[in-house]
Amino acid sequence: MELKITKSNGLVQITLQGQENSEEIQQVLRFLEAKKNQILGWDEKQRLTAILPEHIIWGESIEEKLFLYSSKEMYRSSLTLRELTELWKDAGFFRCGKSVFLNLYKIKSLQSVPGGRILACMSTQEKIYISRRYAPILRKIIKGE
Amino acid sequence: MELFFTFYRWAMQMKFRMGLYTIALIFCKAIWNLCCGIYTVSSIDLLLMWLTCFVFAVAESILVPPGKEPTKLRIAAWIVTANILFIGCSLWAGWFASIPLWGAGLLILLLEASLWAMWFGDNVVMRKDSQRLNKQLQQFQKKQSKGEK
Repeated sequence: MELKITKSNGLVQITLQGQENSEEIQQVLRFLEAKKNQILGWDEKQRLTAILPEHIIWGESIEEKLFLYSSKEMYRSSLTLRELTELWKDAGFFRCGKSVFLNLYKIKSLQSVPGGRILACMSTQEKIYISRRYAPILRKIIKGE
Repeated sequence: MELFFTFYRWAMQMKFRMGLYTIALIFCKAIWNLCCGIYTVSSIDLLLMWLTCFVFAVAESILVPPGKEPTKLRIAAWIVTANILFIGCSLWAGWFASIPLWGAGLLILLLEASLWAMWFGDNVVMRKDSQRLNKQLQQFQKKQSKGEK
Protein backbone atom coordinates (compact mmCIF):
# COMPACT_ATOMS: atom_id res chain seq x y z
CA MET A 1 0.00 0.00 0.00
CA GLU A 2 1.41 3.40 -1.03
CA LEU A 3 0.49 6.61 0.75
CA LYS A 4 1.17 10.07 -0.65
CA ILE A 5 0.31 13.24 1.29
CA THR A 6 0.47 16.65 -0.40
CA LYS A 7 -0.11 19.89 1.50
CA SER A 8 -0.79 23.10 -0.35
CA ASN A 9 -2.46 26.40 0.69
CA GLY A 10 -3.92 24.81 3.81
CA LEU A 11 -5.42 21.92 1.85
CA VAL A 12 -4.34 18.34 2.26
CA GLN A 13 -4.49 15.81 -0.54
CA ILE A 14 -4.06 12.17 0.32
CA THR A 15 -3.46 9.53 -2.31
CA LEU A 16 -3.68 5.91 -1.34
CA GLN A 17 -2.71 3.22 -3.77
CA GLY A 18 -2.88 -0.50 -3.41
CA GLN A 19 -4.54 -3.73 -4.50
CA GLU A 20 -8.34 -3.44 -4.54
CA ASN A 21 -8.80 -6.66 -2.57
CA SER A 22 -6.11 -5.97 0.02
CA GLU A 23 -7.32 -6.03 3.62
CA GLU A 24 -5.47 -2.77 4.44
CA ILE A 25 -7.23 -0.87 1.65
CA GLN A 26 -10.58 -2.34 2.67
CA GLN A 27 -9.98 -1.28 6.29
CA VAL A 28 -9.14 2.30 5.26
CA LEU A 29 -12.19 2.43 2.97
CA ARG A 30 -14.46 1.15 5.74
CA PHE A 31 -13.01 3.74 8.12
CA LEU A 32 -13.53 6.60 5.63
CA GLU A 33 -17.02 5.37 4.81
CA ALA A 34 -17.92 5.37 8.50
CA LYS A 35 -16.53 8.87 8.99
CA LYS A 36 -18.46 10.11 5.97
CA ASN A 37 -21.70 9.15 7.72
CA GLN A 38 -20.72 10.71 11.01
CA ILE A 39 -22.95 13.50 12.30
CA LEU A 40 -22.64 15.84 15.23
CA GLY A 41 -25.14 15.96 18.04
CA TRP A 42 -25.51 16.56 21.74
CA ASP A 43 -25.44 13.89 24.38
CA GLU A 44 -27.46 13.93 27.62
CA LYS A 45 -24.88 16.20 29.26
CA GLN A 46 -25.23 18.67 26.35
CA ARG A 47 -21.71 17.91 25.08
CA LEU A 48 -21.16 18.06 21.33
CA THR A 49 -20.47 14.49 20.23
CA ALA A 50 -19.72 12.67 17.00
CA ILE A 51 -22.47 10.13 16.27
CA LEU A 52 -21.93 7.13 14.04
CA PRO A 53 -24.88 5.28 12.48
CA GLU A 54 -23.73 1.89 13.74
CA HIS A 55 -24.18 3.09 17.32
CA ILE A 56 -27.79 4.16 16.88
CA ILE A 57 -30.63 1.69 17.43
CA TRP A 58 -33.61 3.93 16.73
CA GLY A 59 -34.78 7.49 17.01
CA GLU A 60 -37.78 9.74 17.09
CA SER A 61 -38.78 13.28 16.37
CA ILE A 62 -40.51 15.06 19.24
CA GLU A 63 -41.69 18.62 18.76
CA GLU A 64 -39.35 19.04 15.79
CA LYS A 65 -36.36 17.86 17.80
CA LEU A 66 -34.63 14.69 16.71
CA PHE A 67 -33.60 12.22 19.40
CA LEU A 68 -31.37 9.26 18.68
CA TYR A 69 -31.01 6.29 20.98
CA SER A 70 -28.03 3.98 21.26
CA SER A 71 -27.92 1.01 23.62
CA LYS A 72 -26.80 3.27 26.48
CA GLU A 73 -27.00 6.92 25.41
CA MET A 74 -29.53 9.37 24.08
CA TYR A 75 -28.45 12.06 21.61
CA ARG A 76 -30.12 15.08 20.08
CA SER A 77 -29.44 16.16 16.55
CA SER A 78 -30.17 19.38 14.71
CA LEU A 79 -31.07 17.41 11.58
CA THR A 80 -34.68 16.65 10.67
CA LEU A 81 -35.96 13.11 10.53
CA ARG A 82 -36.15 13.29 6.74
CA GLU A 83 -32.57 14.59 6.44
CA LEU A 84 -31.19 11.92 8.74
CA THR A 85 -32.99 8.98 7.14
CA GLU A 86 -31.81 10.23 3.75
CA LEU A 87 -28.20 10.64 4.96
CA TRP A 88 -28.10 7.25 6.69
CA LYS A 89 -30.22 5.38 4.15
CA ASP A 90 -27.30 3.23 3.03
CA ALA A 91 -26.39 2.56 6.65
CA GLY A 92 -29.73 0.77 7.06
CA PHE A 93 -31.84 3.55 8.50
CA PHE A 94 -35.49 3.33 7.77
CA ARG A 95 -38.38 5.62 8.59
CA CYS A 96 -41.06 3.40 10.10
CA GLY A 97 -43.67 5.92 11.20
CA LYS A 98 -44.66 9.55 11.15
CA SER A 99 -41.95 10.48 13.66
CA VAL A 100 -39.93 7.31 14.24
CA PHE A 101 -37.01 5.66 12.45
CA LEU A 102 -34.92 2.60 13.17
CA ASN A 103 -31.69 0.90 12.22
CA LEU A 104 -32.47 -2.23 10.21
CA TYR A 105 -29.21 -3.85 11.36
CA LYS A 106 -30.25 -3.54 14.99
CA ILE A 107 -33.53 -5.42 14.59
CA LYS A 108 -33.52 -8.69 16.47
CA SER A 109 -36.82 -10.00 15.15
CA LEU A 110 -39.94 -8.97 13.29
CA GLN A 111 -43.51 -9.91 14.04
CA SER A 112 -46.43 -9.52 11.69
CA VAL A 113 -49.38 -8.01 13.56
CA PRO A 114 -53.01 -7.39 12.53
CA GLY A 115 -53.79 -4.22 10.63
CA GLY A 116 -50.91 -4.62 8.18
CA ARG A 117 -48.35 -3.45 10.72
CA ILE A 118 -45.06 -5.03 11.75
CA LEU A 119 -43.64 -5.10 15.25
CA ALA A 120 -39.85 -4.81 15.37
CA CYS A 121 -38.02 -6.10 18.43
CA MET A 122 -34.72 -4.24 18.62
CA SER A 123 -31.40 -5.54 19.95
CA THR A 124 -32.11 -3.57 23.14
CA GLN A 125 -35.45 -5.42 23.58
CA GLU A 126 -37.37 -2.24 22.74
CA LYS A 127 -40.43 -2.83 20.58
CA ILE A 128 -41.23 -0.47 17.73
CA TYR A 129 -44.28 -0.59 15.48
CA ILE A 130 -43.80 -0.15 11.76
CA SER A 131 -46.96 1.54 10.57
CA ARG A 132 -49.10 0.11 7.80
CA ARG A 133 -47.85 2.92 5.55
CA TYR A 134 -44.20 1.95 5.93
CA ALA A 135 -44.58 -1.83 6.40
CA PRO A 136 -44.80 -2.56 2.62
CA ILE A 137 -41.62 -0.48 2.09
CA LEU A 138 -39.79 -2.51 4.75
CA ARG A 139 -40.96 -5.75 3.15
CA LYS A 140 -39.51 -4.60 -0.18
CA ILE A 141 -36.19 -3.49 1.39
CA ILE A 142 -35.51 -6.73 3.24
CA LYS A 143 -36.65 -8.73 0.24
CA GLY A 144 -33.97 -6.88 -1.76
CA GLU A 145 -36.38 -5.29 -4.23
CA MET B 1 -42.46 7.31 29.57
CA GLU B 2 -41.58 3.72 28.67
CA LEU B 3 -44.53 2.52 30.76
CA PHE B 4 -46.82 4.93 28.93
CA PHE B 5 -45.65 3.61 25.55
CA THR B 6 -46.11 0.01 26.68
CA PHE B 7 -49.64 0.79 27.86
CA TYR B 8 -50.43 2.72 24.68
CA ARG B 9 -49.17 -0.15 22.52
CA TRP B 10 -51.25 -2.64 24.47
CA ALA B 11 -54.33 -0.39 24.23
CA MET B 12 -53.94 -0.01 20.46
CA GLN B 13 -53.66 -3.73 19.95
CA MET B 14 -56.55 -4.44 22.31
CA LYS B 15 -58.84 -1.80 20.80
CA PHE B 16 -58.33 -3.22 17.34
CA ARG B 17 -59.58 -6.62 18.46
CA MET B 18 -62.39 -5.07 20.52
CA GLY B 19 -63.61 -3.17 17.46
CA LEU B 20 -63.54 -6.31 15.35
CA TYR B 21 -65.61 -8.29 17.87
CA THR B 22 -68.06 -5.42 18.41
CA ILE B 23 -68.76 -5.09 14.68
CA ALA B 24 -69.31 -8.86 14.36
CA LEU B 25 -71.68 -8.89 17.33
CA ILE B 26 -73.66 -5.87 16.12
CA PHE B 27 -73.89 -7.46 12.68
CA CYS B 28 -75.44 -10.64 14.15
CA LYS B 29 -77.81 -8.60 16.30
CA ALA B 30 -78.85 -6.43 13.34
CA ILE B 31 -79.56 -9.53 11.22
CA TRP B 32 -81.63 -11.08 14.02
CA ASN B 33 -83.55 -7.83 14.57
CA LEU B 34 -84.28 -7.67 10.83
CA CYS B 35 -85.57 -11.24 10.95
CA CYS B 36 -87.92 -10.12 13.75
CA GLY B 37 -89.07 -7.11 11.70
CA ILE B 38 -87.18 -4.60 13.91
CA TYR B 39 -85.17 -2.06 11.99
CA THR B 40 -83.18 -0.60 14.88
CA VAL B 41 -80.70 -1.77 17.51
CA SER B 42 -81.17 -0.16 20.94
CA SER B 43 -78.46 2.01 22.48
CA ILE B 44 -78.39 -0.18 25.61
CA ASP B 45 -77.77 -3.28 23.48
CA LEU B 46 -75.01 -1.48 21.58
CA LEU B 47 -73.34 -0.35 24.80
CA LEU B 48 -73.61 -3.80 26.39
CA MET B 49 -72.17 -5.41 23.28
CA TRP B 50 -69.29 -2.97 23.26
CA LEU B 51 -68.68 -3.60 26.97
CA THR B 52 -68.72 -7.39 26.46
CA CYS B 53 -66.24 -7.10 23.60
CA PHE B 54 -64.05 -4.75 25.63
CA VAL B 55 -63.94 -7.21 28.55
CA PHE B 56 -63.18 -10.07 26.18
CA ALA B 57 -60.44 -8.13 24.37
CA VAL B 58 -58.79 -7.29 27.72
CA ALA B 59 -59.08 -10.93 28.85
CA GLU B 60 -57.68 -12.05 25.51
CA SER B 61 -54.65 -9.77 25.82
CA ILE B 62 -53.93 -11.41 29.19
CA LEU B 63 -54.66 -15.00 28.16
CA VAL B 64 -52.94 -14.99 24.77
CA PRO B 65 -50.63 -11.94 24.75
CA PRO B 66 -48.94 -11.18 21.42
CA GLY B 67 -45.37 -12.39 21.28
CA LYS B 68 -45.91 -15.19 23.79
CA GLU B 69 -46.17 -18.84 22.90
CA PRO B 70 -49.90 -19.71 22.66
CA THR B 71 -49.90 -22.93 24.68
CA LYS B 72 -52.81 -25.36 24.59
CA LEU B 73 -53.84 -24.22 28.05
CA ARG B 74 -53.88 -20.56 27.02
CA ILE B 75 -55.92 -21.33 23.88
CA ALA B 76 -58.37 -23.45 25.90
CA ALA B 77 -58.79 -20.66 28.46
CA TRP B 78 -59.35 -18.18 25.62
CA ILE B 79 -62.07 -20.36 24.02
CA VAL B 80 -63.82 -20.97 27.36
CA THR B 81 -63.73 -17.23 28.21
CA ALA B 82 -65.17 -16.34 24.79
CA ASN B 83 -68.00 -18.84 25.13
CA ILE B 84 -68.85 -17.83 28.68
CA LEU B 85 -68.79 -14.11 27.90
CA PHE B 86 -70.60 -14.09 24.57
CA ILE B 87 -73.19 -16.81 25.29
CA GLY B 88 -73.63 -15.65 28.90
CA CYS B 89 -74.11 -11.99 28.00
CA SER B 90 -76.46 -12.89 25.10
CA LEU B 91 -78.66 -14.84 27.50
CA TRP B 92 -78.46 -12.25 30.27
CA ALA B 93 -79.12 -9.21 28.06
CA GLY B 94 -81.56 -11.03 25.79
CA TRP B 95 -79.86 -9.95 22.56
CA PHE B 96 -81.27 -12.91 20.71
CA ALA B 97 -84.43 -13.45 22.76
CA SER B 98 -87.01 -15.87 21.33
CA ILE B 99 -84.51 -17.25 18.83
CA PRO B 100 -85.40 -20.83 17.78
CA LEU B 101 -83.10 -23.66 18.84
CA TRP B 102 -81.63 -24.07 15.35
CA GLY B 103 -80.89 -20.32 15.28
CA ALA B 104 -79.13 -20.49 18.64
CA GLY B 105 -77.15 -23.48 17.35
CA LEU B 106 -76.23 -21.53 14.25
CA LEU B 107 -75.05 -18.56 16.33
CA ILE B 108 -72.93 -20.83 18.54
CA LEU B 109 -71.50 -22.45 15.42
CA LEU B 110 -70.72 -18.98 14.06
CA LEU B 111 -69.01 -18.05 17.33
CA GLU B 112 -66.86 -21.18 17.27
CA ALA B 113 -66.04 -20.66 13.58
CA SER B 114 -65.07 -17.04 14.28
CA LEU B 115 -62.82 -18.13 17.15
CA TRP B 116 -61.20 -20.70 14.90
CA ALA B 117 -60.72 -18.04 12.20
CA MET B 118 -59.08 -15.70 14.74
CA TRP B 119 -56.82 -18.50 15.99
CA PHE B 120 -55.92 -19.44 12.41
CA GLY B 121 -55.14 -15.82 11.54
CA ASP B 122 -53.01 -15.25 14.64
CA ASN B 123 -51.22 -18.56 14.86
CA VAL B 124 -50.96 -19.79 11.31
CA VAL B 125 -51.13 -16.86 8.88
CA MET B 126 -49.41 -14.23 11.07
CA ARG B 127 -46.85 -16.69 12.37
CA LYS B 128 -45.93 -17.87 8.86
CA ASP B 129 -45.64 -14.24 7.77
CA SER B 130 -43.44 -13.45 10.78
CA GLN B 131 -41.20 -16.42 10.01
CA ARG B 132 -40.83 -15.28 6.40
CA LEU B 133 -40.09 -11.71 7.53
CA ASN B 134 -37.40 -12.89 9.95
CA LYS B 135 -35.80 -15.10 7.32
CA GLN B 136 -35.68 -12.20 4.87
CA LEU B 137 -34.35 -9.88 7.59
CA GLN B 138 -31.54 -12.28 8.45
CA GLN B 139 -30.61 -12.62 4.77
CA PHE B 140 -30.67 -8.83 4.40
CA GLN B 141 -28.50 -8.27 7.47
CA LYS B 142 -26.07 -11.02 6.42
CA LYS B 143 -25.81 -9.72 2.86
CA GLN B 144 -25.21 -6.15 4.02
CA SER B 145 -22.61 -7.13 6.63
CA LYS B 146 -20.69 -8.92 3.88
CA GLY B 147 -20.86 -5.70 1.86
CA GLU B 148 -22.59 -7.35 -1.08
CA LYS B 149 -25.55 -4.94 -1.10
